[in-house]
Amino acid sequence: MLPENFVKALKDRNFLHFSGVPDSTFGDLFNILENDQDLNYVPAPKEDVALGIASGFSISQKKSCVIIQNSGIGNVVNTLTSFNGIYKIPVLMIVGWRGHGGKPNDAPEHWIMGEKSPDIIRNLKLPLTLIENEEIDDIDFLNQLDGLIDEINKQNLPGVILIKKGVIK
Amino acid sequence: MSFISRLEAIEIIMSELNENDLIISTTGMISRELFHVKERPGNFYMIGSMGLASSFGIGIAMINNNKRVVVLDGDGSLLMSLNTLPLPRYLEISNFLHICLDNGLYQSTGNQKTISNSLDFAMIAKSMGYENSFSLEGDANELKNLINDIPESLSFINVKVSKEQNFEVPRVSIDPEIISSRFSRFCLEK
Repeated sequence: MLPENFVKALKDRNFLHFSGVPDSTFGDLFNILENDQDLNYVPAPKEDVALGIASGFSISQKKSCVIIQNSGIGNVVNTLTSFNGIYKIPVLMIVGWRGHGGKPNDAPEHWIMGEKSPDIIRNLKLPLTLIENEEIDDIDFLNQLDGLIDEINKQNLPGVILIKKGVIK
Repeated sequence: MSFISRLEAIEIIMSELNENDLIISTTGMISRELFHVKERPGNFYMIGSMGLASSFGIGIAMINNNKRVVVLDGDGSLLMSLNTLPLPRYLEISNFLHICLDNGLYQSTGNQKTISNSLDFAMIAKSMGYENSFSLEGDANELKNLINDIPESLSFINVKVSKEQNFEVPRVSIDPEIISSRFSRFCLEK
């Protein structure tokens, strides 16, 4: 999936408001978000701040996305549980997956979170979809994305699409 | 001179604000006292996620630029979110009034000290780009006049308040989902 195709798919689904912390997993995606005049992207200093801002968009009835790396999942757990989860404020969380499969994949700082990321989200009982095949074609990718968005809308909760490094080229 | 209590400060603030202001109150006693002083659908009582009121308020202010967003922070929650202070200026937000009610304590957990007495929040806010930044020493008239006179802008007020606690103030008794849905509707109203 090319980053520009991913952004177009998000725009087509009416996601125009973003906040995040950059992640190399997504290649050019952040630069595209920042430079697209139709999109509102707020660079956040930390992942919980990004989720707070995106939740502000969401409660103002604008569909919103957070884009972060999985190393920042720990920084949003309290926000997901004591805020979005109880107030029912949905946000699409696009999360880059470093350290997929754990040690010895990727750099040492990604080993533990790389292995635990899906379990943490599952434990929080939030909608989750995993993109693990680097060669996934665009149609399959978007089917998974649409399934997640349906679940987010149904449950009124944040949902996570966890995307392995190498999927977005 | 003794400082006014946090409850009195909230009473003064609420009597001077605009009817259609969007108010976000931080975790703990501040949300409880706001709920006690003036319950309204334009209040978002953030009962969890301490430190998140300002970032949530920023997202709301960016979309609802026909209304003013007022964030009622405490010294403890502001210390948790100092990294958020540079954002409103960066984003050129001008409908944002950020008020810190500073009693130097984590009161709802049992009056443990914060580290707020060795720093100057107003000076920090000024250096982070808030257009107007004030530090008040807990005087009722000063607070009343300032809230009344403050122009629509990016502004910060630190209000030193007393350590008094009113044990009669109840918890926020509205379901969080209801707080959300009615606030969301309030955003769309004129």
